[in-house]
Amino acid sequence: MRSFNFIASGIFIALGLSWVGIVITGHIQYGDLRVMTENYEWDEGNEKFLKEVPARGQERYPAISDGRSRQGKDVYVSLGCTVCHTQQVSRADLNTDIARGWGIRESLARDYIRQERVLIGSQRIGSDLAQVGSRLESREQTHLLIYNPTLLDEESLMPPYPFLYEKRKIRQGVRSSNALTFPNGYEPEEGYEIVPSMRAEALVTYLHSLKIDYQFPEIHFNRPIVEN
Amino acid sequence: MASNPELSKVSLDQRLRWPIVHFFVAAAKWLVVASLFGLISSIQDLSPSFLAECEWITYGKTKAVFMNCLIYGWGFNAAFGVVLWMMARLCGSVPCKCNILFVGGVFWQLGLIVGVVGILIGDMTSVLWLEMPYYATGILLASYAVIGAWGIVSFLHRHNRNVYASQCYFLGALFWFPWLYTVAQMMLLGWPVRGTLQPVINWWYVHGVIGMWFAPIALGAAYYLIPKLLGKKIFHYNYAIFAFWLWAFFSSWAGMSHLAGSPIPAWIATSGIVASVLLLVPIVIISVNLHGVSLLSLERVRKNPSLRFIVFSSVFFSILGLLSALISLRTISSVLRFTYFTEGYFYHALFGFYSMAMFGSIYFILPQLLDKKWSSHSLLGVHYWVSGCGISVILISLYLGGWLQGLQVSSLNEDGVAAYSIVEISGFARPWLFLKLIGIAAVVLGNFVFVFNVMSMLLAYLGDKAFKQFQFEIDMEPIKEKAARILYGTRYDRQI
Repeated sequence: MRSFNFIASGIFIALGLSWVGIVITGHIQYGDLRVMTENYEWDEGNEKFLKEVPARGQERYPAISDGRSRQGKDVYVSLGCTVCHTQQVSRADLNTDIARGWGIRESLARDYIRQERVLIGSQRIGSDLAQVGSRLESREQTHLLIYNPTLLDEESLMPPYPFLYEKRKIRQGVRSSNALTFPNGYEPEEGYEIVPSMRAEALVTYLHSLKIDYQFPEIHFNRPIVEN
Repeated sequence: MASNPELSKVSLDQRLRWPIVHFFVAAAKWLVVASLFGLISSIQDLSPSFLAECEWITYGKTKAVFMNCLIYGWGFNAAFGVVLWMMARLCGSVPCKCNILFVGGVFWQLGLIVGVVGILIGDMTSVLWLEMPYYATGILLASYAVIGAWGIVSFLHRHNRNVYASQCYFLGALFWFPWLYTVAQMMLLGWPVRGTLQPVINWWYVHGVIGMWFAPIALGAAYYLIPKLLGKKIFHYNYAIFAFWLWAFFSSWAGMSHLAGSPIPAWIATSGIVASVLLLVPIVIISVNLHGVSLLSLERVRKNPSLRFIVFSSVFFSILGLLSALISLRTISSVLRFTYFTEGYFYHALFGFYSMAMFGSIYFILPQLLDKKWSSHSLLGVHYWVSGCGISVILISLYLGGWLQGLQVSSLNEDGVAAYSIVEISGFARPWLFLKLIGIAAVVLGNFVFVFNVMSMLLAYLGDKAFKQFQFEIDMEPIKEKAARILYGTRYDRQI
């Protein structure tokens, strides 16, 4: 007990065990999850999976995100949106996420394998965004939500992000094509318009890209898969 | 092993004076910064549009800066000062020139400034507690290497063959942090692992920083100060080392319980739950060790300005341990996941447990280093009461508010539809957030009193030193002689 070597090696083993046990073993177990090339339809009546190979054979699930939504993700991270928004839908028996319409199914580990940064988050002050793209109405609405959330919901606790938008003079009486249209009573003063910046466009593209409308076989373990 | 002679306490303090004081001053400065950002983010909790026009201080950024300043600014600087001083005292030696600590310390502050500014200008990363951008982390790690190595080398140069429990805790913390930090940096930001292994490593790091850096340091300080200030032996001290090893082996797994229900393999979360429950064994031993002496002599604890902070922190440690075992259970964690409860848990660990231990230790160490006494104990008392009440209010508001929030989120009405919308639930949370703001304001006030106490002692010391120098330089004797010559003329010489 009195030797430095004994204490130091004990100290190393203590953390090393958890490092090997959690980090390395986890990596061995599911660090090489593959993308799926088939879609699986859950057949409610027969309780079977219908395997569906897409006609073009080019689809990959989960899909890789395009350049603009990656830029949007950087904006999302740099503004600290992860502080209030999670991106994981819990199982139906665990929480009310699916009842709230936050997704058609729970999130699975395979959903995240093509994301460079996994933003599953730790606190939910706002709603879950894992599949937010499926429930956002239009880009216009999403822009309004980011510009000033109280325009859509008086009680919203989301902070506004007006600095992502540019207020500028309408030139020669012609509005920009992408200028925001406001609900009655909230328009900017006469002769001005609010135009989203590149960052706002990228952020909205990112939010709309968060969609999950495909199934993986692991969602129902031990159920037969029927090939079409 | 005894390459240099055992130093007396006085000469140790003389050699360590400025390096350690410089860590404490830096800690106090970062505490002020953290307090300001904590206040801003708590106001933004209530009114989201507060300062929202300014891109530099959105809610996400203020919260990240607050936590980073609190952890790496205040927490680490205070830890460096306390650990290095106590290590030197327990070992009875310093390994080499203490001035190298200035180098490490200055670069640590530099890295922090770079990191905090990086967060504010938008280079924040998405990883909890590692929000500082990659270009700051290299500086932090290099400067930590200097400081941490100093602590370990001073253990190697110890004169006392006997190894105390405090030394084990300090040694463990000094070894564990760089490992946690490098692994997290490399596997999350450098060469990110795939998929949901990222949150696994993130929680391994976050809980590692609480359980394997902050907790050992606060516990080591408690094991050192409680018997020293009370003049009594630790109750059942021979079990303390056993508790240390159990703590070391279990606490590194415990963080996984936060991931129960997330898209990760179930066994990972389960291992965390098992570890959190097993941690109750060392927690009971440590509680018996520490409370066994202190609770029997409460009257003396109350009178001692630094001991009451330590006892407060060790009581909060016991509560924290029981609570983390309780909330790790799946039935409870499914309700409390993602609520304000988790935030409260962090405040509990960082402030109620860790910071209070550091306040107590600094109130003990600083007078020894500067060889002065606290001019007024009443200001120390103000700090104790304001901070203690503040953190209690924060914890009550976030724990109760988080519990209610969890119940509201998980309640369904008869049709299987969620009973309350998210906006409604955040409306219900407003009174609790207001209570939290009051608590934060009290804690911030306490922090300012602490900074005032430290600075006034430092200024008094510097003032004394300057005054002594002044007295020394203007030697009155020749002037007196001259005056006597003028007054008495030649008679003066005759008198001599």
